[in-house]
Amino acid sequence: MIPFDVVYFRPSNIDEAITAFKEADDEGLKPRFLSGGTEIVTMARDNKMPARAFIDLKEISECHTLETGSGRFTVGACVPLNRIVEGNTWPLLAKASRGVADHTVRNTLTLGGNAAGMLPYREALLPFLVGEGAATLAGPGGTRTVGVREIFEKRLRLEAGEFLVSLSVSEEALAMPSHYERHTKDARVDYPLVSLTMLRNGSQVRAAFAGAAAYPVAEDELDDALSGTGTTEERARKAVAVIEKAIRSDMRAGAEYRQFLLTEALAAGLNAVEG
Amino acid sequence: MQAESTKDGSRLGVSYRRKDALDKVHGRTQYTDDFRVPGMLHTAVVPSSRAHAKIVNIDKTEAAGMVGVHGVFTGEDLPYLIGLYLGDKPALARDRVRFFGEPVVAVVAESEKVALQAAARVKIDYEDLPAVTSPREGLRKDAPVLHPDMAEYVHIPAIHPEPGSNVANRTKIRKGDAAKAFDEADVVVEGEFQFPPGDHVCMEPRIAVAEVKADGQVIIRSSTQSPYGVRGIMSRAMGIPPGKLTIIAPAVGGGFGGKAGVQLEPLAYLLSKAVGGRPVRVANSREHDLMSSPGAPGLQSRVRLGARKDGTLIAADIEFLFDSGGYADYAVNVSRAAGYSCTGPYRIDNVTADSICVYTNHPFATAYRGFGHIEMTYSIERAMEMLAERLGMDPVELRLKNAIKAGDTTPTQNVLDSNTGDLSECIRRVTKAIDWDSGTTQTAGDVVRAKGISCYWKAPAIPTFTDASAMVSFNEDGSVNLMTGAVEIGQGIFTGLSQVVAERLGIDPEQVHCVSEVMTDRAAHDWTTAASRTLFMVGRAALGAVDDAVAQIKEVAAAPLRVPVEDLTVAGGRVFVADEPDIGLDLSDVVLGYVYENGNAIGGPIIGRGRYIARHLSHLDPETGEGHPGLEWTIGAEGVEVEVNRRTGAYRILKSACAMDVGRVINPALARGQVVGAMAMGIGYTTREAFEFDNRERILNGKLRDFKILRYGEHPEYVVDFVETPQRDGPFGARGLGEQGIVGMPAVLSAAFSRAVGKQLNEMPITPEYLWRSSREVKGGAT
Repeated sequence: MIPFDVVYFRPSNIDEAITAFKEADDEGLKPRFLSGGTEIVTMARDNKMPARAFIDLKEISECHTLETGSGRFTVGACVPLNRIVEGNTWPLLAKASRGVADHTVRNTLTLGGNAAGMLPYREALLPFLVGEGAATLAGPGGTRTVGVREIFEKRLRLEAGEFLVSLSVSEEALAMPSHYERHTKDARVDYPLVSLTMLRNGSQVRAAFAGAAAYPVAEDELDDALSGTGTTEERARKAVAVIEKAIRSDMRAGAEYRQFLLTEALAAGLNAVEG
Repeated sequence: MQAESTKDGSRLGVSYRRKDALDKVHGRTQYTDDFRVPGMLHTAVVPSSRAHAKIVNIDKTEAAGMVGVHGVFTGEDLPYLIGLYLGDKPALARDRVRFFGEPVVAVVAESEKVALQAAARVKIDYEDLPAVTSPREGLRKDAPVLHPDMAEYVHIPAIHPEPGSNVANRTKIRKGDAAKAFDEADVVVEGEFQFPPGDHVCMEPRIAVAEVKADGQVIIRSSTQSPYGVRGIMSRAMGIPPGKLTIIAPAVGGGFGGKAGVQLEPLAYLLSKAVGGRPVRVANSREHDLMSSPGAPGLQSRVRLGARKDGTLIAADIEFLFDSGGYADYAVNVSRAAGYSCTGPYRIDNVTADSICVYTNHPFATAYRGFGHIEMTYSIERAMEMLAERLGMDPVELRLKNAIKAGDTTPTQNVLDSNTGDLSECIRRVTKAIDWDSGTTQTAGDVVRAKGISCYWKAPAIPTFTDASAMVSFNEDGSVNLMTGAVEIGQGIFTGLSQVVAERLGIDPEQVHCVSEVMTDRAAHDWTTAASRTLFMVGRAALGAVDDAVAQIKEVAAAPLRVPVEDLTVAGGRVFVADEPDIGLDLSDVVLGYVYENGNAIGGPIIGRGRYIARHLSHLDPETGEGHPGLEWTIGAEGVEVEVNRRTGAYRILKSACAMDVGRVINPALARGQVVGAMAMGIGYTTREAFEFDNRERILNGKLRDFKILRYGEHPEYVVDFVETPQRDGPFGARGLGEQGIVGMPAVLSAAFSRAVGKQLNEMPITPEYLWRSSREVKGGAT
């Protein structure tokens, strides 16, 4: 059980959410935005959740967008991953979303919670990192839309009091050659040792992957190595060399095995997107 | 769909629907936590954050001052030592903690919420002590002694603790002359094997609710496999007269040995007593159930086998070091079971073995499905694979050559009688199921398919005086009520028992109603629902009760029917003259008393009594192990086919087959369910269900997001086959089968994976990373 009381807000629009957050923050309640809440519940049970106020974004219509229009495919932060999987508008996103948790949890777990929540893997964010996606954010200073990579440094760097409204990519990105693969320690429902998305836009190959390091990796230098010259194996090795020091060992696997899986996955990805 | 009886009218060998099926699938079965007692208080336990440390100070002031808190208790407040076989464990840690997660403080409060809030405000200061990291480390002369007061602990005579060391029990087997036989052997192989401790992961976490009534009566409702065991241990350790202590065991959501013995009941009782007798609920969270309550032991073992050129085994030298964790619990008997069964189901005339239960600073260990035999089989079968490889002999042929049979002796020098199962037939059926003869490996690029085989045996590790009881009474319609001390732990025991009773009475099992909640003040004594002995022993007691009732029925019916008692028979709901079936009465006219036309009545309610006690079991000689520990041996073989990508280590288990000699199949669907469940559990045990520790022996994966169990979609095809060599002292020839399907799984999977990567894999868990690393070692670091 969750052994503490919380203040729960369910604003019906963006302005109310921003105001509610500010008020709760002023009262010292360390507020958090809530979307699916699956991770908030597990951390609260474990006494690892300092927040005493939650601003639930589920009533905000912009957070429920799941549509293609004006040349872009837009997914709201409160869309459960299973809806993305079942809609399958962007197969790369559908596959990456399907890798997260299990079916029951994905009924509740949302894109926003996965992309901007507390766990470091953010696998549903990866397609937007390779697809030159954009993030729409709402905060005290108003609403802004920025390139996902512009605000990504190990995680999405949001301003204080700001929340993710939606993520989008151009419609062209939906049809670009892409690759996804995922490796776990053993059980399929587990955090990844390597969860890789790769996408080719003309001659530019981009990769983003989670699990190998303590944070998702998406770096221009690595993409340049992948897009350069050489055999797929050579390019994969060059790309891995860029982040080799960040590859981690933990209870799930050693760095050596992660590095092997990552190198193999990048080479397989290059073969797939260039084939 | 309800199954029909067989063509000859027998109720045996028929898959009747489980009696508990409908309530369970509708979510209506009531487990312990579904009973909320008025006035009940809640408990939150503060676990140790250290694996081995001195408790320097506990500051409970802030917690105790909170509104709604009834008390904050430490080990000093509850000065009792409790243990199943060895009284080594306080209800809350005293002076020092011996494993990460050990309960240190208990807060009792009006609500669970307040209890948890208060628990978070308890401050404990520790002073770290050097930790014992493995059983082998624990045996070193300079190892920290975890129980310096061991000499003062009370223990049963069947175990042999060694004060001044970390040895909680040592079982010695000395049979024949092993040293001489090794000298004469043509081939000797030796291997060391190991795996870390794990957990049962029952669906229902452990829970106990205790209440001390004003008149001193103690009532404990508990998720337990052992209501009578809890009563016996608690009454002895705490001085509660057993008649004043009632244990109630509703349906249990999975036990697997983890709820045998004594669990949260002493803590719940002591806390209730401390707060004036109000009902106190002690309920494990999932994380506490994994870490603070006991799990499966880890193992380090060494096996040396000596054989002739033709593969005949002549000598074995064996060492099993069980990782008992901080306390002994059932692990002292687990190690004993591995000792008395140490050779596996093979004839070996010269054996030395030491099976040792060692304290470490890991989570403590209790009974776990397979009970010593799973660890033993893993070690012996690994060595058998090494021997087959060394001899260049087919592993199936090696096993057939040495398969134990009637007339051979066990490691404890018992001669196996004609009830012994047919191992060779089990081996033949399993090899057929996995098509062994078509080849044991098949390679396509990086992907290898490989097969493995393992044999196993298991005898219940039970006290020599293990007992069971049963009582039958009757209803107005002649239907039967069966009352026993058996606990429904998911195995479907009441369905099997009702078939046994129905068969004897010649009625439909639907006419047998089982009392499914055990209350120790109602049903007579029953040892424990464990060791795969319940159908066997309670079945025997139930048959005794039926026979007793039948004698009474005949006696009552003989008068109105005016026939000699010995001419009567009972079947199909009637009592009648065997050779003139028209002369008879419906049971409904007899079982509550017979009433003559004029109103006179005779008889009265029939009550049948049945009892059972194990036959001819004896203690093991402490120096040689000679003795009779095994009531019946269930013998079988398992085979698997796996697929491994040698480049990446990824694998799939394609098929898992088990052939077991169960004596007689009572309910085929239930029997198959037990074996499939056991095989699945064995896959988890082999591939993932293991604790990981940091460098201070703290558990890293104490949550289900990190401690993985098998899910739907990860299962292979299961093949289950039963051989039926009757166990003539079992009910209708049946012997135990509940645990046995797991016993060979770590061994058989290890054999197949080893064959796939081309290297003997002598550790578990077997993960893709381990397969990848091993494959690379074989290839000499290539790729």
